[in-house]
Amino acid sequence: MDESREDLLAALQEAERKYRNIFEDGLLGIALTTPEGRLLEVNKAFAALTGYKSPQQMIDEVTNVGEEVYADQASRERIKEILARDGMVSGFETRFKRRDGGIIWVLINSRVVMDAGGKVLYFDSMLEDITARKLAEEEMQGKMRELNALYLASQAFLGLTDIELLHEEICRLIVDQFGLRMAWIGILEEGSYEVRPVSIYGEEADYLKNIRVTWDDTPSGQGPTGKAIRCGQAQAVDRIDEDPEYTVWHERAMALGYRSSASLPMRYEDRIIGALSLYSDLPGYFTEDRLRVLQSYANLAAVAMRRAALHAEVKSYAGELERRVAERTAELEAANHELEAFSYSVSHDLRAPLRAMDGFSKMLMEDYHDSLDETGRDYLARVHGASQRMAQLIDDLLSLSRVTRAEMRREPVDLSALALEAVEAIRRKEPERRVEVAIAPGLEVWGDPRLLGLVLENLLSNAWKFTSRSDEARIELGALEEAEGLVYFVKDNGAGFEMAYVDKLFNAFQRLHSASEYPGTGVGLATVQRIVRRHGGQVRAEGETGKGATFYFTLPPSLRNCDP
Amino acid sequence: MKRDKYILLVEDNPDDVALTLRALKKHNIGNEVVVMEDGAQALDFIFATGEHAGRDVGHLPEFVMLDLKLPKVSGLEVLKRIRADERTAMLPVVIFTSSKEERDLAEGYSLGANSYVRKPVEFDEFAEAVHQLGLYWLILNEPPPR
Repeated sequence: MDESREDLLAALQEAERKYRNIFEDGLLGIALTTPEGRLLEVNKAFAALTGYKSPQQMIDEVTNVGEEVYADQASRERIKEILARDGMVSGFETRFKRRDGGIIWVLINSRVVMDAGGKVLYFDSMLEDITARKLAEEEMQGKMRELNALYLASQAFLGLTDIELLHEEICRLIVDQFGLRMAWIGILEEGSYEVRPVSIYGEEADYLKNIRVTWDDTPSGQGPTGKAIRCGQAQAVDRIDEDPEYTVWHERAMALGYRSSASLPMRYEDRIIGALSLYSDLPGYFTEDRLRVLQSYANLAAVAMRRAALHAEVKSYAGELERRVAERTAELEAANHELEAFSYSVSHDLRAPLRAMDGFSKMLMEDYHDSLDETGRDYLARVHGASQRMAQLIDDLLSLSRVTRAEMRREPVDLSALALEAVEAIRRKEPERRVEVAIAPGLEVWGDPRLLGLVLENLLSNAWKFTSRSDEARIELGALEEAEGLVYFVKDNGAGFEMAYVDKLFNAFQRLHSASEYPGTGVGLATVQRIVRRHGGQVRAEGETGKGATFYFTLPPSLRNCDP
Repeated sequence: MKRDKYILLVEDNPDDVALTLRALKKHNIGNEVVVMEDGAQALDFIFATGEHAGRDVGHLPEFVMLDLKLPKVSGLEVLKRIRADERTAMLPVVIFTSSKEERDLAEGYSLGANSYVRKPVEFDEFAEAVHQLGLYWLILNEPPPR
């Protein structure tokens, strides 16, 4: 019996010793507290954690743990609520005040100890100092915030092309995201060392008023902004109040609550275009890590600014171009109107005198035939002939001018059908001539039917005219496949021309044959060239004197397959 | 009362007037030709106003040969006024002009011209055109009821 009591006692003493070990020497803080906040027992760890020399000192000095140890009394009330509800609380994080005023973060596990009747005796709490972890967490969050700022920045800057809005946004975003006091952007001026502020945001109260910032090695260039630009590196001032280089702006900065600052050079490709200067109310705020993030931000901002500048340049060029085009168009329209008026009066005014010349010379010939001798009749005939040619010339000229002014239609055109019509009209004027005409069927093109009809009329009547002295006259219209596409041609075996003069062929009024050989005004081919050019195509000619001539023209495919 | 059939020629160019008269004579069209030298006079004549007040409005020409480019009042304006008045609305009007302009052609017809003939430059053709017009409008064509 004695042995078992002794064993029991020994076991109890052992247990108590173990407990004492844990309590006294354990790393976790342990405290027994009353609901009112009195400390019943406190271990060494707890005392050390909270900055007391010994548990005894703590018990002596602290009368209400809720008021004196908890940084925020409401936390203890909250714990008591949970304890009342659940009987225990675990993982509760809160801040404690140390004896020297310092703040630490603790993690609390606590349980209620009651007597047999259910009355609360005390709270048995264990805590852990998690200050380090908490600080790390905060730093992480800080970094997340910073990265978020960069992300927001890239999104925001993407959308802004108005350079003033962009400048404002650059400053505002960084101040808001990082909780800074102020931010401003300075741009390099061309041709001088001046740094021109273009936007400022935050508590600034005329900070930059009447202050000249430069980036050369002069007093006005010694500030962080000037240095950042000059040396091409981020500059940070940890304590404005102690910094000798802040002399010029010192008073103002202190008055506005700036305690630290940083200047980031804004670099685009290899050029520094300015600097972003930032101010915080916390000394030492601009750490290496922070500067890295801020430099990325500044670079992003520089890219966006360059983009906005380019955008503005393009806009102004576009505006200038538009203005010039409008001017040209107005000029062309005016010229066109003049031309139209001229053509109109030509068609009326020039014809009437011609008719009179022709008519009266005819009447002279009829009525005074007998009074006139051979020479007289010859003279009259010449007058008559001249007025005829003049009439033809006027018609051709009007035709040529109409080609340039007319609005072009774009529709499918059956070239073969047009050619057949033209040939018919030509044949009717000289039905006695025998000419073999071969028109390739099914030539479909895209263009203005009236103008293309004119082309064919001109080319075919030329061919008709220049084969007038050939026995077996043959005229052909067809198409050839060439490298660049389809080429149409009108070919005849008539008089031809000398290739040496081929360049002159398409000039207005230029003729390669005398009027006595073949009549003509020399305007027809100029008209053909003009029309084909308006369709975006080209004309060319090949000929051999005595053998014949071929006229080629293209009507480029870009005018085909266009939806009207 | 048999009234003489006459032609009204509205033409400002004296050469063209001479040529037209000559052409008509040449082809034995012996009707009287009344010549008005400008648009205002033409209207005065047709509606018996101004200088021609007192003329019998009911005695209208067989047809009108109307030039377009006239002093004072243009040919197209004259045509418009002729068509606007119910006394003269059906009066045959032949536009006889040098103009080759598409818009004159279009406007002429849309204002109610019966015919549009371009004056040839060559006299023989001109004479032939006048001949054809005379033949057609005086003889072949049925005039509107009076």
